[in-house]
Amino acid sequence: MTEQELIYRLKAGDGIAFKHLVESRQSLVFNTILGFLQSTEDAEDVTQDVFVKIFESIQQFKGESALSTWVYRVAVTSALEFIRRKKRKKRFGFLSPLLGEDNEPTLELPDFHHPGVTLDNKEKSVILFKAIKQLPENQQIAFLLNKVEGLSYQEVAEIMKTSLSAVESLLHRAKTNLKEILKNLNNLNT
Amino acid sequence: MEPKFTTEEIINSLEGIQRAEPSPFLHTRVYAKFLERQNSTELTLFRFVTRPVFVMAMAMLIILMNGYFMMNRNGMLNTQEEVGQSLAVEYGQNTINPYDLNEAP
Repeated sequence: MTEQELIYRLKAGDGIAFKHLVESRQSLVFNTILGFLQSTEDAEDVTQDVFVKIFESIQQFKGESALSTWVYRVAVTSALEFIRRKKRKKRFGFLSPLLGEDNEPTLELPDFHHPGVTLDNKEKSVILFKAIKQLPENQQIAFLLNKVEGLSYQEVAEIMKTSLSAVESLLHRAKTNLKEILKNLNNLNT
Repeated sequence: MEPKFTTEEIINSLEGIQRAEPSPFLHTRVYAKFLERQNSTELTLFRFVTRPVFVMAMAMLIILMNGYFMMNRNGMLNTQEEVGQSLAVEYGQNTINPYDLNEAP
């Protein structure tokens, strides 16, 4: 199925096309979200939400970018929304009975072990993921898309709707900030 | 004590990372979630309007609107009084003349 055909059939509400979309893009969506959320359970939940959102808003997709770029955008936005919601819940947890929200406690997650990291890099990647969480949102997006998803600067620029030089600058700043954060983390561990 | 890893080693630890796979039958679960969301639209509206914060906000709004209309009503009465007085002035009916009072009918 070509991309144009897939988009056309998705817009027509074709269930088979939707199944095809989920099967062909699930790894992309799941891995992107996993990098941000650093929890397999949360990433699976948000991945499901992303596909529901895509199905509900496919009519708004104008085809100005590739379908995968749009899917990446929805995935990144949803992951960041989830993190913001979680932080808000943690900050204003005392208000949740008034707001009528469920009173599930927000637990601090344990160290994140990415299932795709090689064995000899496991320990180092745990420290790195801890540091990534402390980066500003834009730098996080650029770093994760480039280093974890393996996307080129050009692809990252398209997803972030920014210029190539802006992505280069974001990645440069992300690395500088990471070095600083890691230095502090290392000092704490020694 | 020397740190276990250098910052460069840590930053480069994602090199050669493999893709993680979600659990199987994701499509079925997505479809179930989609149906569930479609069915729960009305339920969500009900949940929203029965939230304590929503009920309190509505009560406050009613009280504020009530106060506003009460104040406005007094204002309207004052305006009517002012109009009456100005008409009285215009027709010379506003002053009490002692001679008028003493004058026999």
